[in-house]
Amino acid sequence: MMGSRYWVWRGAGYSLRASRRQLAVNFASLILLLGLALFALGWGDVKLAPDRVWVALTGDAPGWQGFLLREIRLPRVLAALVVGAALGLSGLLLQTLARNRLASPDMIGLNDGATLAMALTLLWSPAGLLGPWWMALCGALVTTLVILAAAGGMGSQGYRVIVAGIAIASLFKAGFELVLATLPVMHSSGIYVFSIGSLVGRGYPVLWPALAGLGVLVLILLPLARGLGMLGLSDDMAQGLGVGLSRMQLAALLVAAALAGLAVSVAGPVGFVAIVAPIVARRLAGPGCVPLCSAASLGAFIVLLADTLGRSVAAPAEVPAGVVTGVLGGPFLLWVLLAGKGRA
Amino acid sequence: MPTRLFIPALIAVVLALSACSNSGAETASAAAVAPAATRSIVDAAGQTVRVPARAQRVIVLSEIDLDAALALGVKPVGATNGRGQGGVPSYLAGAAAGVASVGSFGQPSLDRILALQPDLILAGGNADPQLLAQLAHIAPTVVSFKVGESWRDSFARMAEVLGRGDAARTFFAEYDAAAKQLAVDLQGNAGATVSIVRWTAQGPVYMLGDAFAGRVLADVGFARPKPQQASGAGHSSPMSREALSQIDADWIFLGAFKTGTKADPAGFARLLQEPEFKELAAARAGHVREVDAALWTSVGGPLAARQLLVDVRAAMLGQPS
Amino acid sequence: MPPPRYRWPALLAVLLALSALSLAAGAGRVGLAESWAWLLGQRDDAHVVMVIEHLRLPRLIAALAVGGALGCAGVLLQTVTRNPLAEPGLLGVNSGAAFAVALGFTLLGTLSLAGQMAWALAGALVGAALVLLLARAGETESSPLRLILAGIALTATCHGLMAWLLMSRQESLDQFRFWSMGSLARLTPELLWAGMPLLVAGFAGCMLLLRPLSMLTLGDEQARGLGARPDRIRMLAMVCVALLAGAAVALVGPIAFLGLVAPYFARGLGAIAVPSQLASSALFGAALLLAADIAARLIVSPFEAPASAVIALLGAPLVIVMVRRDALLSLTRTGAE
Repeated sequence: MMGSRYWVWRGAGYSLRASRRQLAVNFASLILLLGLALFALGWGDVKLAPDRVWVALTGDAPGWQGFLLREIRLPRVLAALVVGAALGLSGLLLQTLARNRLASPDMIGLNDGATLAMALTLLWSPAGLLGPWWMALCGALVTTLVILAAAGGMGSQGYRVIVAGIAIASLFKAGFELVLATLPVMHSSGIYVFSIGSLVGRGYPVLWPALAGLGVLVLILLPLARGLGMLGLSDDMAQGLGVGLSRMQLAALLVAAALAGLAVSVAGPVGFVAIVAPIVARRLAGPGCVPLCSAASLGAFIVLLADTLGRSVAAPAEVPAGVVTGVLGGPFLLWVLLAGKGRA
Repeated sequence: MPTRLFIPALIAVVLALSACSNSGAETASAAAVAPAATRSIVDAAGQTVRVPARAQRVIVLSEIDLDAALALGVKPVGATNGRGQGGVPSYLAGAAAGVASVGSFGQPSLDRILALQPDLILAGGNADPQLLAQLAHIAPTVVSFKVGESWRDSFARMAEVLGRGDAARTFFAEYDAAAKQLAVDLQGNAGATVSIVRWTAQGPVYMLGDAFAGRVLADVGFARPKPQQASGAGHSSPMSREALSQIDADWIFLGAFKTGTKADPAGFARLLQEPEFKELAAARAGHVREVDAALWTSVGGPLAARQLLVDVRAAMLGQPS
Repeated sequence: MPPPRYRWPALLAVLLALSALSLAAGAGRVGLAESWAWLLGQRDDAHVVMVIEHLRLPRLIAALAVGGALGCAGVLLQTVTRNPLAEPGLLGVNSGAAFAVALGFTLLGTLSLAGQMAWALAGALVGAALVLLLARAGETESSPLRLILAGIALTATCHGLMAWLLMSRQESLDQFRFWSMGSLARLTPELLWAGMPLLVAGFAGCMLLLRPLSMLTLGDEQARGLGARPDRIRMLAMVCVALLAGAAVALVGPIAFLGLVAPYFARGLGAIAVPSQLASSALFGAALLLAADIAARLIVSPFEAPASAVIALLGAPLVIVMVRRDALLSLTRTGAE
C-alpha cells in the first residue's frame, strides 16, 4: 500500500501518509479558494482592484474603503468559509457514517430543527429580535437526538436515520409554519430571511466563536475520521440494520450534527452544500479515503461563491446565499443522481 | 491527514489575526467621522446609543422609519425597499423621491450603506442581532420600535433620536386636530364599528386590537367588532369562511397588496360576489372599501396615520380632505 | 380487525359517516340540527343553504376527490418505482406543481382557473418525468432512498426558486406559505369544477391501467411474455400520477404523506393485487383527508389550521413506525421479487 503514490511523514510517535493525488487536489483547491476569497473581497456593490484589496487589508487604505474591507467584507468572507467548511465536513462525516452519498444534514431535518428553534426565540423578544446565534446550534443538536431516538439505529446505509429524519423534518417544518402564522408580518420577515439562509451582516462577534467551534470539532473529528475510514472499507456496517449504534458512530453523528448546527447558526440553512461538496471531493480524491480537507475547502468554495454571486447579481438587493445554492444545487444533485452508475 | 488540514487552519488564523489587529484602529477612525456633539438615548431594544445631536445623513431600514423621518422633515440619504417591493411604499413615493435604495428589507447592502456615509441608522423591525451589530459598527444604530407599540410612542422616540421634538409636537397637534375634525364631520358615523381585514391567500385575517390602523380609528372614535378588540399588534390566523359574520361591522376596510402594475381589481370584485361575503351587513350596505395594505395592515407611521384619516373621510363622506 | 368480508363495507361506512360529519361540522352557527334539516329537504334558512351548498359541500367533494387522487397516485408511484416510500409529496411531484403555479402567477400577474390547472399539470409532469428517469437510471440500485432523496432535492430546489420568485412581491410571505402548505379552506365551487376534468382523466387512466399494472408487478420479463410493454405502461402511469397530483395541488395545495399512508393502510387491510390496492387506497385517502379537514376546521375554530399539517402529524409518526419495524425494506424485497 505504501508505495510511491504516498507521502509519509513520521515523528513524535505519529505517522502520517497522504497520496500524491490527494495532495495535488488539496493544493489546487486551496489556491482556488484563496483566489476566490481575494476576488470576493474586491467584488460587490463597491468594486476594488486586487491591489487595492491588498493595500486595504494590510491597513494602509484611506477612509471607509479600508473599513468596508476589514470590518464588513473580510468577516463575511471568512464566515462564508467557516460555514462552507463546516457543511462540507458535516456532509462528508454523515455520508461516510451512513455509507450513503445522499445522506446529509439538510436531508435529515437538522436545518428545520435549527430554524424552528430560532423562530421560537422570536416569540419571547419584546423588540422582535432573534435570539442568540447558538440557539440554532442547540436546535440542530436536539433534532439529532430526537431523530436518533425515533430511528433507534442507523439502519443499512443510514436508512433508518434518514427516513426518520425526513419524517421529523416535516413535523418541524409544520411547527415552523404554525409559529410563522402567529407572528406579526413585520417580525416574521426576519425569521423568513433566516430560514432561507443568508450571510448579510455577519461580523466578528459571530465569526470568532464559530471559528473556535470549528477548530474544536475538527480536532475531535480527526481521530474519528480515521476510524470511520476503516469502517468504510469493512463490511461490518452493512449489518447495522436494526443494531444499535457503536460509541464511535454516535460520536461521529453528534460531531456531524454540531458542525451542521454551527453552520446554520452563522448563516441559516444554506442547502445542498453538505451534500454536493463531499460528493465532488470524493470524486476528485479517488476511492478508499475520507477526503476531509477537500470536502471542507470545496464546501467553503461553494458557499463563498454563492454569497458573492448573491450580492452581485441584483445589487444593491441581496439574493440570499441559500437561494443561490438551492437553485444551483438541486439541478446539480439531480444530474449526479441521473448520471450515477448505480453507486449508492 | 492532519498536515493537510493544518494549512487552511494556518491561513485562517493568519487572516483572522491580521483582521483582529486592524479592527481596533478602524473603529476609532469611524468614530472620528461622527460629529462632536452627541447625545445618549435608549432605543427600543433597551440599548443605550450615542447619537449625533442633530443627525444629517440618516439611513432608514424599514417603512415606519422612513415614514417617521419624512414626517419630521428629515429626508434620509438611503432607505430599504418596502417588504417585498421594488421601491418605497407607494403612499411615500412622492415624499421619498430621490432617496437612494440600500437593498431590500431585512437584507440591506452594507456596501451601499457604508458608501453613503451615514451618521445615524434607524433599524426598526430588523430581527437579526448580528446584522444590527455590524450596522452599529458603521454608524450609531437605533432599533426604533417594539412589537405592538403604538405608532405615537415609536414616532416620539424617533423624534428624540433625530433631535426634532418640535416637529413631532407640531405633527401630533395637527394630526389630533384632523382626527377631531373628522369625528365632527362624520356626525352619526363616528361611533360606528369598523372592521379591518386582510384577504390572504389562505383566507381572511383580521387585525388585532393593538394594530396600527385600529389605534388611528380609535382616535376618531370608532369601535372595533369584538373579536378585533383582542390584544395583539398582528393579525389573526386565517378564518373559516363559515364564521365570516365575526368580521362584520358597520364598515369593512379590506387591505390588499397591490403588486406593482399588476394590480388585481378583478379579485376584489370577485370577492364581493362570493355568497358568504354578500351576507355581511357591511356588504349589503355597500360599506366595504378596498384599501392599500401597505398603509392599513402594516406597521404604519405618522404619515400613514394621516393618510388613513384621508381614506376614512373619502370612504364615509365621499370627499377628499 | 374485522374479518375480511366485512372490511369493505366497514370502510365505506366510515367514509359515509365522515362525509355526514363534514357536512354537519364547522365554525359557524350551522350545526347538526340545521344540516339534518337541510338533508331532509328544508331550504328556508338562506344562511344554512349557503354554508352547506356553497362552502361545505364543495369542500366535502374536494376532500373525497383529492384524497382519492393522492391515494391512487401513491399506489401508482409505488408500483412503478417498486419503492414503498414513493408518493407524490416525498418524490417532489407536488412541489413541482406548486412551483409551476407560483411561476405562472409571477410571470402573468394573474391566472384563470383553467390556467392554474394547466400550470400545475405542467409542473407535475416535469416532476413525474424526473421520477421516471431516476427510477430507470437506478434499475440496478436496491436502495429505496435514492428516489426519496432526489424528491427532497427537487422540493428544496422548488422552494429556493419560489423564495426567489416571490421575494419581490409584497404578499410574498402569504403566497409562500400558501404554496408550501395544503388546506381546503379556500376552495370555491368554481375551482373545484375547473379541477374535475384532470381528476376524472386521472381516475379513468387508473382504470385503464389496472391490467397492465398487474402484469408489471410480475416483473418486466413476464410482462413482456404476456404481450405488455413495460416502459409504456410506466410512462402512462406517470402521466396519471401527474394528472392526479397536479389537480390535487391546484385545488388544495401540496399535501405530503397522504400518498404514503393510504396505500400502507390499504395493504394492511389485505389489498395485495393492484386493482384492490388502488380501490382501497383511494377510499383510505379520501377518508383520511376528510378526517384531517374536519379536524383542521374544528381544532382552532373559528380559524382554519392547514390540513397538510394535520396529515403530517399523522404521517410522520407512521413513517417512523414503519422504519422501526423495517417494514419498508421487507416490502421492497417482496416488491422486487
